[in-house]
Amino acid sequence: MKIEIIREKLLGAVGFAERVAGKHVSLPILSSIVLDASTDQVFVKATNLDLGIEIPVAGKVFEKGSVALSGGILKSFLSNIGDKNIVLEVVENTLSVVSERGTAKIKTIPSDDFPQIPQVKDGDTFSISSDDLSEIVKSVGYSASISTIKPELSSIFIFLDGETLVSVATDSFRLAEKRIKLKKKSDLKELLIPEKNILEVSKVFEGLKKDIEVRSNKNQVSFFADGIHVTSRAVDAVFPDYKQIIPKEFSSTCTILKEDLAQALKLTSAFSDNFNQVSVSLSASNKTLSLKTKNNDIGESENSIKGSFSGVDVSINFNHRYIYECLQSINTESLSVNFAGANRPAVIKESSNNNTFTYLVMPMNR
Amino acid sequence: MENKEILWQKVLTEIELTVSKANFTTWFKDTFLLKVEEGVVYIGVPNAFVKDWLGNKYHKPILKSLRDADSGVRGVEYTIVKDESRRKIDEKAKKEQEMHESLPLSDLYINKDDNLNPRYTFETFVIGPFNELAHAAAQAVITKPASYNPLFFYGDTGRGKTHLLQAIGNHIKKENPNKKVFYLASEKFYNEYSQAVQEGKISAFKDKYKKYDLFIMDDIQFLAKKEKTQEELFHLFNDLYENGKQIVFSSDQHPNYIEDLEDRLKSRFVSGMIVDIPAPDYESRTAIIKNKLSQRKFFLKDEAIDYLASAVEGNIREIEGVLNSIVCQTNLKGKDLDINDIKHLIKDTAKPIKNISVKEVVKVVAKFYDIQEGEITNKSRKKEVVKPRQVVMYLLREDFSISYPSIGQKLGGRDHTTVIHSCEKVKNDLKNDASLLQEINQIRAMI
Repeated sequence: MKIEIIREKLLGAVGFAERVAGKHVSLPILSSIVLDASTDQVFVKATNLDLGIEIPVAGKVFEKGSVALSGGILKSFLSNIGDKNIVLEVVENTLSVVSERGTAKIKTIPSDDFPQIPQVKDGDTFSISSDDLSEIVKSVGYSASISTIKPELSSIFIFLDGETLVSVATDSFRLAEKRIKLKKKSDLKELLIPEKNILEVSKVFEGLKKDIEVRSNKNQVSFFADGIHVTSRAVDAVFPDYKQIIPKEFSSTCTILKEDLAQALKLTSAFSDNFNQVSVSLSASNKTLSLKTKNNDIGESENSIKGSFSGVDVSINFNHRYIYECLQSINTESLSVNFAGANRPAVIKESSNNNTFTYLVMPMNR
Repeated sequence: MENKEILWQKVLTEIELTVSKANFTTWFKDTFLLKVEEGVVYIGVPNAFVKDWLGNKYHKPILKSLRDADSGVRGVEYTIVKDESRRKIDEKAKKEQEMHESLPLSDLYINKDDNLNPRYTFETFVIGPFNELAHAAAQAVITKPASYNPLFFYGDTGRGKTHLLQAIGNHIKKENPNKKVFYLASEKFYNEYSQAVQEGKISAFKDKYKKYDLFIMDDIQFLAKKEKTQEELFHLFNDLYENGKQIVFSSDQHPNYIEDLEDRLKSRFVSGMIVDIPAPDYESRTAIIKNKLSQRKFFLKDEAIDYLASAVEGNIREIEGVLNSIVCQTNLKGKDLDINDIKHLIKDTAKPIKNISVKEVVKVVAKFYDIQEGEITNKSRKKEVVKPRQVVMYLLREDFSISYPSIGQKLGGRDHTTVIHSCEKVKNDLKNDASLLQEINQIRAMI
């Protein structure tokens, strides 16, 4: 194999592929990336059998062939030479990388054992802009469960409600839902993608400013845009019918500035105990929402926020991290916090008429 | 094929010899033989990568080894299946997680294909004298479908109708994965129907339900007054019934007493088997409480269980609610509750001993039968007055334990033997007159 290629483009592709390549796998080929020039087009490929990626890179193919090597080594070499064009050639078991300023010889392994990256041929399809995909991941991703004990809870659940794409994630302590209007008609039924996979996918397409075509069946989902193909395992499980737990009626509501809440949470969090507990009290008569934390070893603090209030007074304990994390998903200056009683989850929403974000957080009981 | 595991094990052993250890663990570790059908061997694989790779790279050696072991093998298919063995470990970890306060998601895993909640099974269904018959009928339908068609359960809310209905569905689904089971509440049927009308997709709606082998509809009483939906259900019923498909219904009362339900539907409902689920008796309540406690891994003293069983009557859902608040309070206080705490806790739920005046009973009964209140206490012996009068006496005696002489005195100075006779008569009539029972129950509800 011998190819000439633009360094920067190859670096980008190698960067993404290297992230996908398996970290702790028994089969060496799965922790490598593959440079595939078996046609006139050069592809960079990698997979960890959970996520697979194929990125085309513009380049000239002098001799066809393909080779597998460590992505990390190639990446650090490419990022530290400043040249524009480089030539890569396989000589026996090494890949020689030649640029104006320097050369490198990198050990390779045969690429014969590199598995095929499955493409979803027929299945439900929808198309989403790369910005919207990033928005989904940013808005609900942090709510997915870190533990993979329940695969459906460590995933983002995506389904169609009319022309709106709804994405949901929950770790059973809080739940985030984001609704995005789709431009094109789609026949998606529902889809569960592991959160860490969709995060990688969104990073690959981030900044592309293009529509991504998503094709899915119950086991696999493929993303296509600009010749790039990323595929992930889809989770074949049932996501809980979460709509039933969102309270519909509230006993008290307040509308406050997002900035105020962020500030107050930061201040009080310094004094929080091991359970991250913050006690939130809404007083409609004083028109304040006060946040209180107490740690027997350090001290305590209290902070209050002004805003507009209605309903009965209520006092509930929360994990302050759970409240703080949802602020990144709120795109308006103010937000509303709704309470449905002392032992029921509180609902946080954007304060606007066309709210697209709903966040449910469970109180702490200690 | 006498032994599927051994066959696949042979193939794996052969392949393990020819490939590297790393290759073998990556591609073959989580595979197993699903089934053999007409010479085609179906291999279960964990994901699409493995499926493609086995199909492209290892297809020939797999097929060759299979043929060596069994000459009847013609082909191999690879299917992606969920890894069940991993699921089992989850259960353990799940329990640990439940210690924390979390969103009540576990109740919401509803299978989209059949609407069943897997939580409702016969294993968790407590059988007592009160629901023995219902349980037996359900078992009969499971072992011999369409033996009672339709099967109709009725009883007040919180008696376990939905649990029983869903358990039938879950059981049949588990025993025969090929059978198409569908559960829905009548309200949903109505909503879907009206949506289908709006969108002009009536025929799709009709076809959707015809394909089921077991059709379960809960809370049929909500279809009252919805004539068009009833008509649709009528046609669906006929279709399923003619094709020998099992149908199960539930309602809060006997179909004959559901108001505004078309007669042709009523007559069809009663054509199969109708089972009443009455209120659980004391022993059953005790059993239910013990069962729920063990589900929650919670312990209560026997005297507390006895007290709860006698104080919380009727509704299983109420029992569940009381237990929840006991568990919650105990966790909050960090110590076991004593009997007084429990008494205090359930003071709102426990059935109060009603103080009601004779006058009120008379008023309600008179209103129910649409006669003047005065007629009940006067000496009139008109037929339309006699019956309500007897009902009043019966109710006062049975429900409020007022003595025969004092009932007689309060209803216009009658002799206590008259009252005894009236009560006996109503009691006897009740044995063969279901409509009278229904009337009395309605009056009871009004009081």
